[in-house]
Amino acid sequence: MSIKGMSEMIACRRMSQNDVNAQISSLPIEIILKTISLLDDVEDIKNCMLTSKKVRDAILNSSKIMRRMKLVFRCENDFLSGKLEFLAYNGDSIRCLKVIVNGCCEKLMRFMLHHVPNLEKLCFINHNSSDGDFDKLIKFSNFKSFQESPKLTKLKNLCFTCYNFKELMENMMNVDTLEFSTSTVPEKLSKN
Amino acid sequence: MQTIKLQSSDNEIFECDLAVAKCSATIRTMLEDLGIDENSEDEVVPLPNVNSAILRKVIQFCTYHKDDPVPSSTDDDENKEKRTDDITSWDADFLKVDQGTLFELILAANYLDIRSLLDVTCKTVANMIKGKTPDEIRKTFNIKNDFTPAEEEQVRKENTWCEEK
Repeated sequence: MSIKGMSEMIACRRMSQNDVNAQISSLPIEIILKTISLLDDVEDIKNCMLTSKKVRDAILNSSKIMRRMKLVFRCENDFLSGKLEFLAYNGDSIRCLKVIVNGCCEKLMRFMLHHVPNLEKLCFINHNSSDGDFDKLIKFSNFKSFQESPKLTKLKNLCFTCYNFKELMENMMNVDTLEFSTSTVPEKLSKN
Repeated sequence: MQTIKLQSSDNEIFECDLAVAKCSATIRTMLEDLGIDENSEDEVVPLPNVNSAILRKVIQFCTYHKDDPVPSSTDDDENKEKRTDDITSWDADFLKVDQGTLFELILAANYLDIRSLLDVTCKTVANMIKGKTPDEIRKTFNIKNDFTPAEEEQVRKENTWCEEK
């Protein structure tokens, strides 16, 4: 191949890439993402997410930016209405996840089973586990599915902060290790 | 001094130092793959994605930075702290251009694969974004807002749950 041919081939490849992204911006999306990844203020990144759906989706799919933000935005609407917060770190392969829940968490469980296959540690905070409705909030079957899931083979540490310990203990007897954050119960329980 | 000829999209020929041209990984790879050496004086490297005004700026940048150490691959570590306040005064002066030129430089740096130029231009744009509203960012990047008001409100609501801790 001649140098002219190779140069034109590279140019065409770049141009077609630009054409695809032209609908988003005059800059290729990877350049926009590279730029956004340099922002250190979460507010600036949030504002970028509000510019267009494609930019928002690109940010959500960028582990580089997610890692920089130390956050996971990928919340489904149902989770939001249930007042969930996800705080994740260690990048695209989420290994540590803190969840704050104030509602039924079955969809959350399904979400995590499918989206955090490398989860090693889960910290679960329940702000609304009042007497009587705890079973609706956290079911043992959910956690059993966590521990037995072939997709979550690396999960070794489940950590709970909860206000209804009696029901939690009744439901969690088969969980290997529980860590509680209050002084009213032992710091660690083991089924053995 | 070994030189090479570069041809811009508007057919202007630039004769520049080979070491300067090789700041571009694209040109470097092209020369290596095609077996073109320093003695191929008549070869002209066409750069159909870069016009003469931008190519002149690129050559100016590469001439100034040609002796800079080549960043290692580990420098691209995603965990490495990202900064936008470390632009040298020479680079800052060099990039005192209108936004269209800045974006063309970014595209040229991307096409020619000149990492140092791409880094510093992206840092400059990042500094332009800081503190801007979504609408101002849209104008900066020429982004079409495809959110409905309800969808935009939903994203705002979604983002309120995300707080760095």
